[in-house]
Amino acid sequence: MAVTSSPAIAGRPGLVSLVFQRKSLLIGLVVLGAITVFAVLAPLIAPYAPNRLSVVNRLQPPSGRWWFGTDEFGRDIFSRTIYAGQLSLLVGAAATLLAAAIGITLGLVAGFFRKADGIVARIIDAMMAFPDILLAISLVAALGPSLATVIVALGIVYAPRLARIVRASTLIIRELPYIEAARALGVPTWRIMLRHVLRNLVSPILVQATFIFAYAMLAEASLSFLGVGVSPEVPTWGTMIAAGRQYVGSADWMTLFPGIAIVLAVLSLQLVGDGLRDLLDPRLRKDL
Amino acid sequence: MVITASSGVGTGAALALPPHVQLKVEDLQTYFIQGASTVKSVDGVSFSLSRGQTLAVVGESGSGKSVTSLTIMRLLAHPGRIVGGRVLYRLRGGDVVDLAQLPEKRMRAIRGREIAMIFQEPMTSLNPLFTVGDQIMEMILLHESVSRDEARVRAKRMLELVEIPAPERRLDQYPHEMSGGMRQRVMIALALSCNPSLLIADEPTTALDVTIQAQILDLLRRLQKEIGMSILFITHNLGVVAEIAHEVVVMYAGRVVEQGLVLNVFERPRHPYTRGLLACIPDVRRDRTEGGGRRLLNAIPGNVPSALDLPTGCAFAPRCPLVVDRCRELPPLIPVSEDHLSRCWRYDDL
Amino acid sequence: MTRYVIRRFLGMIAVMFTVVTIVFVIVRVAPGDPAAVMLGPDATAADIATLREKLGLDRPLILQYLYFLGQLLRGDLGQSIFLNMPVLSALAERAEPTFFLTLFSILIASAIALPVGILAAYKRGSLFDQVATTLAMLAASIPSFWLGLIFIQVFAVRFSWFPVSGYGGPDASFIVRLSHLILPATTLGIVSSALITRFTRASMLDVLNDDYVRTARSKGMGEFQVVMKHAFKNALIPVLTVIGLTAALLVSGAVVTETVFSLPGVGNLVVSAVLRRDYPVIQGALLVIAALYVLINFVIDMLYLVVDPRVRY
Repeated sequence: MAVTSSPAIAGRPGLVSLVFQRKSLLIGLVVLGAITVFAVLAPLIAPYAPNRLSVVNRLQPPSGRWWFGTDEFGRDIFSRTIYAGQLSLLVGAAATLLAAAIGITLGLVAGFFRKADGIVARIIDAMMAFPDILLAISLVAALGPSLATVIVALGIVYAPRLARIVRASTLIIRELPYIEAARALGVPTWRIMLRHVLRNLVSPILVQATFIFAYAMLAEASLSFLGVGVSPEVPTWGTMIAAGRQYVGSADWMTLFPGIAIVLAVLSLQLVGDGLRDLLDPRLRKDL
Repeated sequence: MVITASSGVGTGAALALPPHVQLKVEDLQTYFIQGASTVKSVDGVSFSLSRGQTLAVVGESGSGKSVTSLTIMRLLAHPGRIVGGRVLYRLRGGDVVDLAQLPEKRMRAIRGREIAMIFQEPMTSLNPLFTVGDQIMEMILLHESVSRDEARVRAKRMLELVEIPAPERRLDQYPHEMSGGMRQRVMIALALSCNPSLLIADEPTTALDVTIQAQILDLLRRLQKEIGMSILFITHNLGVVAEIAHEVVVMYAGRVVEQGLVLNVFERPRHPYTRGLLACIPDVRRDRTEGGGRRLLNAIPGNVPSALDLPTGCAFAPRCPLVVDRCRELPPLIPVSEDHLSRCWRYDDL
Repeated sequence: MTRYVIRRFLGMIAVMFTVVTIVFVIVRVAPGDPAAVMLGPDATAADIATLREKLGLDRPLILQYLYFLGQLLRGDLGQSIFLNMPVLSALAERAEPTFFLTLFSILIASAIALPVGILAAYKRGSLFDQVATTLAMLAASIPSFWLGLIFIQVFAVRFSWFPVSGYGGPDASFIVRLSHLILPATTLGIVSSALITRFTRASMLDVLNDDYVRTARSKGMGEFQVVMKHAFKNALIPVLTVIGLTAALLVSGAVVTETVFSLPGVGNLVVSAVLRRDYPVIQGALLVIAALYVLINFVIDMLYLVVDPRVRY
């Protein structure tokens, strides 16, 4: 016997147990779930209305009455923080969906039509040359600032990342022998290819989309902080931190809590993205 | 070859080797221990290698032959470690040390200078970012206090020694500018640049095509005659063993199954595994003249068992044509004739 | 080698051209009349018409595009509407803090990321590796503006070690300016070290098992030398690429960080231009920054020539 004990050879483990085996994925999902629940149930959980002014109670430090303190208008920061989660999650999710729609379409077009490929590939490269925040604020400036604009801008900014993956995969699959054979026989191949490409791409798209979700939330916060995104009156984590900027050193809680909320949200998304990558395709691990 | 049982010499006593012996491995055990699972990659291997001689260790992948060589060099990757046994080695000054016990710092002075190694993949064993000259000079400068100019002269001489044409120009080339055979020559030049007493060659010809393979073997034989180093030759190819080695150790699943002089083992293999391996050898000489077609006659059915799932008793039993009930019990290494051991109950039926 | 340089150079030109076109499109897609947007709701029709003419907006789009290209070739980025100066001069005036901020950030990021990444890979699975990997992910999750505010809170307000904001005024000595740069550069450096750390670790993991590393060990070389000379030099090639990509991240970060610390840099200029709808400035800054990014990556392609002899072939 060369082996003192051998690992148990189990059957194909279920998805749930696979998730439980990955601690970081589990932590990410739990935190993300908690944030989502808080945001969705904000009207039930929040002790105060997010915009209820109370000038007498302005700039109160955290206490039993105001868990996260109050801001310069006496609004409850805890309530505003969980309401802000609604908008941050909404912007992140919508921008990710839009980026996926644009990116997958562009990638497929580039991969399927040789003639379009040169142009699309170059556009993808050029888009990646713009720093994400800079491109986003320029787009917002061009389109006029509003919630919808921020979503559109971020969707455009992050689309090339997905387009790149889809294009590369499509280019590989179109060279597969049976696709070539089908093409030689005159069978319309795009339908077969589409099915194959999409099936192969589910995992990498899902993983990349998770990261884009994270980046989009960070970018939205940055835009709101810079004052070029949604209106400063709307509570988002970015606008709350921007408002707290004047009170750094005197009312630190105004910046502290929304910041922690962003970090938790982005971190949990990254944990989920990492965990999904390991779970769905260990080969993807390398290209971070 | 003399095989002795591990003697009861205490660790405090001075170590000794018979004067003609360069390296003696005694009951070496190298395990890979990860959590609760243990893989016994090398499980009680013993052999000794005389000065100026060549010993071949033969086996399929997973037999433990490469782990044996890495153990001697103490280059085991985590989680591999030496669990038992001794690796007695005669230093240039005549002192004998146990490499298995030596502190890493002293081991470092031995690697490259006393024991050098060449590897299977000449394409990847040289660093792509440094010139060939730099890589040879680096070795010389590591172990000897000579100037860079002197080291360069020595490096050039080494390239001449391994029959590389235009050595001065080659010194300034990068590995990617050379063919596989040329790179293996560079590896040999590198390995021999500090005049080691022992060269460990881990499948040095496997990745090369047949003609180049023969050239490299010729070169190693010639260099051994000129320099007088011992060679520990690791291979899966018994055909190569016949060309270069004096003695042979056949390994299977971490254990020695047969060992002896090449002449004896080849003439009458006393283990069914060795017999199977011998039957697989394409006739090297005929191959060379007929254009090197590779054929596997009479290949042994089945695969090396997983190291995590070894059968009790003889590890070869599941694949063995001669298997009997008794094979459930592990045979010891049985002396079958002078200097010839076999780990098979039925050695006499072979 | 010459072919490699020419191919990369042509590639860079092609991407630059596309960048220029994209910038042109972005500024022209604005719904409604840019001139009207710029002048605000109180502008008269005559004012708008004048501005349209001044900006060339009354001409057909294709002519506008060609005119735009012609201007660029002459090095003319147009005139700022609010600053009363050419865009190029406005950018040049603001370039210094941004340049040093970016430079110091990348130095700080590399100083953190390279050793940590190398050691984490070398001690794969150890406590150090786990802590480093977790911290890297945390750093990538922190918004730079928030970290900047915390630094201001702690190091500028509470301890008064560094100035809170600004760049020390026009006559400030280099030392004073430097003191203004330390907090922003550290902020940005920490945030951008995350990606470099992860990449260095992955890249080192790849090469540490390579055959030539084993060869180096078999020579009797010490571990430090094996890792730094033989492994790291090979790992550096992909890491260089990431540092190039991080440049874009840094500029994004610089836009935000400059605002937090009120550094009078290009990022600050862009944000105020966006708030004032100063389109020529936005357009110029986008162009210059994207061009810089493309240029940095071209330089990195050229650095491969130095590091990797296989490319030289």
